Amino acid sequence: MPVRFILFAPLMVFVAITILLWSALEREPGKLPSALIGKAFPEFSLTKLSSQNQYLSFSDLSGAMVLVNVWATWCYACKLEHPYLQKLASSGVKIIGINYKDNRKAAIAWLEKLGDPYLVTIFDKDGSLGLDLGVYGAPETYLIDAQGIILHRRVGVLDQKVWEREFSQYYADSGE
Amino acid sequence: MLGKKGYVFFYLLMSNYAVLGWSAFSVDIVTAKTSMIEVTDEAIERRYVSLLQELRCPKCQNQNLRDSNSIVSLDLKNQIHRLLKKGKSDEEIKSYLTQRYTEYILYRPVVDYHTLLLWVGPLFFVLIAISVLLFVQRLNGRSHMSNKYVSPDQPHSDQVGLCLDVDTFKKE
Repeated sequence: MPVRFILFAPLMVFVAITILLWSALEREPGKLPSALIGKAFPEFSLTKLSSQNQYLSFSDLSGAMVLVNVWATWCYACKLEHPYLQKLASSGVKIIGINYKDNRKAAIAWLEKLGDPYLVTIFDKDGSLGLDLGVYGAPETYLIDAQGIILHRRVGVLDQKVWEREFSQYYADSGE
Repeated sequence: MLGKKGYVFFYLLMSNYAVLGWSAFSVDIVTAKTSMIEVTDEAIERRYVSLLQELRCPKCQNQNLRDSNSIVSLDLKNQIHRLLKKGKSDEEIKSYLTQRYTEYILYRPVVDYHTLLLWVGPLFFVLIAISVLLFVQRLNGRSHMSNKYVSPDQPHSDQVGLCLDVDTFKKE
């Protein structure tokens, strides 16, 4: 009696929904993809953190593969990731900082106290560069190649695990 | 029935809801205050509000910009306001934002091949519902027919579904 199978329809539907929801558990819907992967780092003209009169622009970034790290003194997770950035910097990874919506004095004091892993830090007081980058929280880290193209974006703390999983391959490829 | 304990529990539950409701309300007042931006032109204000309602806060996935007070939302609100004053159209502003924050930021996704499922999906479920409805109706129709015309000693060969089974069982 084929019609009998209809009785199992609710069970089938239940199983289908369970599978659907189960697979959705693994997703991280709050994580934004970057709109800028494969695109050039946005143009900007902002001062250096250490000097109000010295302006930095896109051309100061390009030339080599660099990490661009968005941080702020109000950001707790930035403090957590700081030691790892120091470690990366001392192993020769070039890191450029974007001090995001912060207080210049406090930021300078923070780097004096905790150490400065950045080649240079861009002072983005209003978050205008952050907005062009699509930053929605600190810390965020972008990997940029020598031409200034954004290769990868990490939202959240950068640590050994994340480095190995998401970033190290690029450095292996480029031989840097 | 609820025992005495049950009533106490129920009372506590309700008072909790009341407190929760109140705190949600007061949060709302705070939000309303801080998200206020001085807008002079009435038309711009209207567009500003409707844009904020259908744009999503990048930091908080289930809130629109209007409801959100996260740092990035405040920045985006200011930026949208600035762009509106510059005379940008709604479409220009949306594309400005999607270029930076991807389509994630649009609560009303564009109609595209990768959002097709989103747009057509509900229709698909409606179709399923209708077909189930029709099927059940057909089943019922048949069982009523057999109720009327089938004699008690009718062989069981054309039993359809559960209803018919029960009906014939009664007659036997």
